[in-house]
Amino acid sequence: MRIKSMSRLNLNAGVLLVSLLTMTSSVFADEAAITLLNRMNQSLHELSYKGTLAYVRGEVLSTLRIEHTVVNGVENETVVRLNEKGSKVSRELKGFSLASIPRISPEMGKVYSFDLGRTNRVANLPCVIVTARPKDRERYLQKYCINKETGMLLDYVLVGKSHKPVERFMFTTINIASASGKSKIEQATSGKVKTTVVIADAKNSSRNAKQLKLPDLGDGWVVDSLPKGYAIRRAPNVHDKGGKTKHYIVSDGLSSLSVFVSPYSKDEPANNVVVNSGALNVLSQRKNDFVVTVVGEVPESTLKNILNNIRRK
Amino acid sequence: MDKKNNTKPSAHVSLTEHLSALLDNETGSFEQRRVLDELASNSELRQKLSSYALIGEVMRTTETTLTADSSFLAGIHDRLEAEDEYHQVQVNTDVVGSANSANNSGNKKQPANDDSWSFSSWLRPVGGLALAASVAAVAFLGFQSPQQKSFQQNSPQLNGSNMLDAGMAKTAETVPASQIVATNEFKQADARTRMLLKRYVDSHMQYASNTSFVPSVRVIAYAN
Repeated sequence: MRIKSMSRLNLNAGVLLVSLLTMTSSVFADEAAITLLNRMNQSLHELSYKGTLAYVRGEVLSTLRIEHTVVNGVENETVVRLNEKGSKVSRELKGFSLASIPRISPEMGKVYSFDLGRTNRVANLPCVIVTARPKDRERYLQKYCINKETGMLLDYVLVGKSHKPVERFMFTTINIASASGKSKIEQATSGKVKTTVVIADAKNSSRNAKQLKLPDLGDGWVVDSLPKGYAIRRAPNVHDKGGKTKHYIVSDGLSSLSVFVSPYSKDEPANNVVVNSGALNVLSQRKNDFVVTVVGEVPESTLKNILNNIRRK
Repeated sequence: MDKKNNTKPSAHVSLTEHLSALLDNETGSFEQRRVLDELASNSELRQKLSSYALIGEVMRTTETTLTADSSFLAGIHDRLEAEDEYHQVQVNTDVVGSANSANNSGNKKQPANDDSWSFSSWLRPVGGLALAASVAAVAFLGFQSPQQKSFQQNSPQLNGSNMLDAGMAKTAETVPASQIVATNEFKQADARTRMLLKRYVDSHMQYASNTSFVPSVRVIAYAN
């Protein structure tokens, strides 16, 4: 009898130990995943790289040539579409701030579970799969494959509610270098990795804007509630109609959407608008003398939810 | 292997071969029609087409052709200027105001709000390109007229023949019937609405998108 209770005690202790070990390893896996995601966010601004990228939106496939350089703290990014009409885009980001790069905090564990997965190979480089799995249906599942040595993102998938990818970015070839142009991998092996100097310019970043407290946005508008994990902040007004269109950004740190509030006029669409393209959704609805438009790479139901919760004070 | 899988392989292999031949421009008109008809209803075949197209693109892509095209900014401007709506946006910073004045000469441009940022020089390239790029994103809009009937769960989607992009097909079931009422058909947005929404998508790409190169890729993909 006593032996039996002792063995049961041992069994319980064993189960507890295994549970604790599992929980601990899970916490470490989450932390490792978050650390890698934060490193990736920084590397995407600091690294110079060029390569060919396959972009799949719904069932539409595009191939693009992307080149990103950092010279004296100035980022230059050029994207060239290689198929169809071969259009191009370039942008220059002067004086981006490290402080403006979104940080993934452990707090986000309330709405996502972060998993560090197996090692894969993309564009002939090893990368570790990191999954940000939403705990509700208010955001897409996001899957990253990140080269651990450089922090470069090589593969990025947004998965919709139907468990099908709605958008995918995957490098097929890539050459990664630091800002000086020297191969990042060479530098890493020689132990002389340089950190790119960036010029902080908080004025240029709306990410530094103060977050607004719900429900009163303080400008005649009220948001009754937001889906869990999302916070709202102001962005610069849209440069039209004398800057009367207010722009709010609602973000959980990984997923984001914009809310635009514009006075209704005959120039506004007379009808409500619904648009979907890959991960991007747009909804527009008239509310009294205003038109509220929500735009974002989140499920349409999330946009709908937020649209329904915004009202005039 | 189940029966279903056993019944189709020969036909499927044949179609796959025809698909490959089609991409290589080695099919006759009969085979072309057959493959195209099959593509309309066979999602697996469409996926194969995407894969083949990707492989083809990657194989055709060479460093030489990319670097040869150095004056990309000029190319962008040429392309954007060729687009009527974008040209309007670029010339008139107050697009809607301008649209107004076209209709009503008595309207004056309104002064900017204090909290409205004017585009600084570093924002301009992004803004302009995003505007052009978001043309496609808003090219097809679902309109709901308040006078019309409510959206039903099985409301029709864009007719395939009217779609530029299958990804733009809008399912009606997501629209709350209590909030939004709609016609049972979609139509192309008017130019003014497109311009307005382009600005919104543009601003969203600038300020709300998180991952570094992702907004640019979306922008350029939407441009076509």
